[in-house]
Amino acid sequence: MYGQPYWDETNYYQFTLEQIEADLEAPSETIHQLCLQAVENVLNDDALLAKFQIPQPFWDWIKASWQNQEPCLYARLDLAYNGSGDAKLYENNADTPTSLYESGFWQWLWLEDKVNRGDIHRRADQFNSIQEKLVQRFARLHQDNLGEVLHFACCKDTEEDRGTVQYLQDCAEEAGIACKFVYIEDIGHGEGEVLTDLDDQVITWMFKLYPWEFMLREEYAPLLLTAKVKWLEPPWKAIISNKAILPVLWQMFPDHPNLLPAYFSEQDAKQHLSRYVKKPIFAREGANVSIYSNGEEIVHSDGPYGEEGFIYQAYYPMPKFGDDHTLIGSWLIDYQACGLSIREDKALITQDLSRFVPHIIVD
Amino acid sequence: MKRSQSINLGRMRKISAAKVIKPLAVVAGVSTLTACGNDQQATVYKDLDHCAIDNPGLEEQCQSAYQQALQEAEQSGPKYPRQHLCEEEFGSGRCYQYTMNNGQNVFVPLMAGFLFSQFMDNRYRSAPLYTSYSYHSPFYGYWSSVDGKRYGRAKYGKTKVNKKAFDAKPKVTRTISRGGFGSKVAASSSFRGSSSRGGWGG
Repeated sequence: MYGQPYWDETNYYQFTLEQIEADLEAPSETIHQLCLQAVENVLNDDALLAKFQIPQPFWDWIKASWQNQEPCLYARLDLAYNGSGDAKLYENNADTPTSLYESGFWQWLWLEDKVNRGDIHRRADQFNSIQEKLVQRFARLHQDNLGEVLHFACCKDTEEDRGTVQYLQDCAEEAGIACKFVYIEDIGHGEGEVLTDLDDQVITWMFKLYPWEFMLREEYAPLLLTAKVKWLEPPWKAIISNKAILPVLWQMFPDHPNLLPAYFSEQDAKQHLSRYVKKPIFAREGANVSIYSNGEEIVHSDGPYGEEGFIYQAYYPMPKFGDDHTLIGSWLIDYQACGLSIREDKALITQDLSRFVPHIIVD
Repeated sequence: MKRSQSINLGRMRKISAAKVIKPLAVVAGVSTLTACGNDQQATVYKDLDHCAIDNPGLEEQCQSAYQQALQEAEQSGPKYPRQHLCEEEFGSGRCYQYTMNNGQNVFVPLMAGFLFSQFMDNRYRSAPLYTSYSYHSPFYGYWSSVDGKRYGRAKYGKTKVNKKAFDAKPKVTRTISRGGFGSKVAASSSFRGSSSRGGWGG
């Protein structure tokens, strides 16, 4: 990892229960509800669907997944929070969030070990029922899909994604679901316009750690319309995870304490904001982000994204402790906020080599 | 308490952040109809009449067992785009045309028989069986399940089977091509350099 530590156990963040419950847990669940309302709006507005760069052949299919209330699994809200005041939403990683294993398992184990060694007081707690909630969520999904095999998929050559998917598969098996794994690249086109795994078994229920905006543009995209797969995350997450939702949220809920001003056009951004961030509507891990101050670009990160367009969000610097900028990841399982992951970076834009730092709650 | 009460460490600890376990592929192997401890008495019948004649008073049970087996065969059994491909595997005249739910026509082998068995709960259950009349097939002279497991010699009458033989089988189909997903990742990943933990999550 470029010679930088990813998992940093030397430090940890300490919160009060009040900070967790009032400033992070409740607002995260509120933000999720706002996002759901925004999805409803977007799906009823073809002009917005076009702005979200959703290919038209999939509009009805995505609408159907929303109307049928296809269940979702998880999301990670990226928040700015400095210990007091309102947490602000940077973005909602609602389709393919990662660092779940570090958050739900390793962070939990870290505190367990620290307490057992006497380094941290036994009464210390952690905002982290991620694993418990995941298993409960899978148990619920199992009830609704008895006897079905759940396929898990991610891309080849990505160790982190493979680890995340294995973790989720372990949680699903803990909940009694029969699981199989297949790499995204190995998925087949089967007779009958279906999707198959390497044993030619028809895929009927799948968790994919692979973004919808890619799947909707690839060779097998038309098969999504015929294959009748139940997806985790469901197709409507293509809306909620899209950064174009940020200006929609601001338009629907202006001045909401947990939202940052955001606009579709640079002109609007310039008119309302002295400093703003230009973000591609499809991008991961902070790629292709530019920060502008009084019309001049002051920071820029490289990457392969941006051809589908950008949104403009008020520049709201991450809180800085020492040399490090701190980003809060707030985990939702279904609609329940249930844990934190904290990442630190020396740079202003958090990328995939940011360090993961554990936390505790002490009152 | 804001954290998980307990965690199944045995299951969850097996992967470290740096180590990933390769999944085991499921392989359809050769097995006999019987297995220790999980045996179930069953009879192999050729068709509905065969079952009904042998079980006076159970015509209805035979009927629904036969229909169920037929349905499972069509749903979960092998499918071929051309008749000759199917006949190569199962023998001349042993395949018929079948129209799938989506209107597509394929060729499937004839169900050669079915397992019929009364379970502890007094209900009857069934499972379809194939056999092949093609000399070079591994199923020549043997029973095969819909998911390609070779069972014992192909003969009718009483037998003992593993209870699992009656479980619903996953649907299978012929795979026409692979690799239609994942191209975007190849196209956009060059900038990531040699990062060992690059992924597509956000």
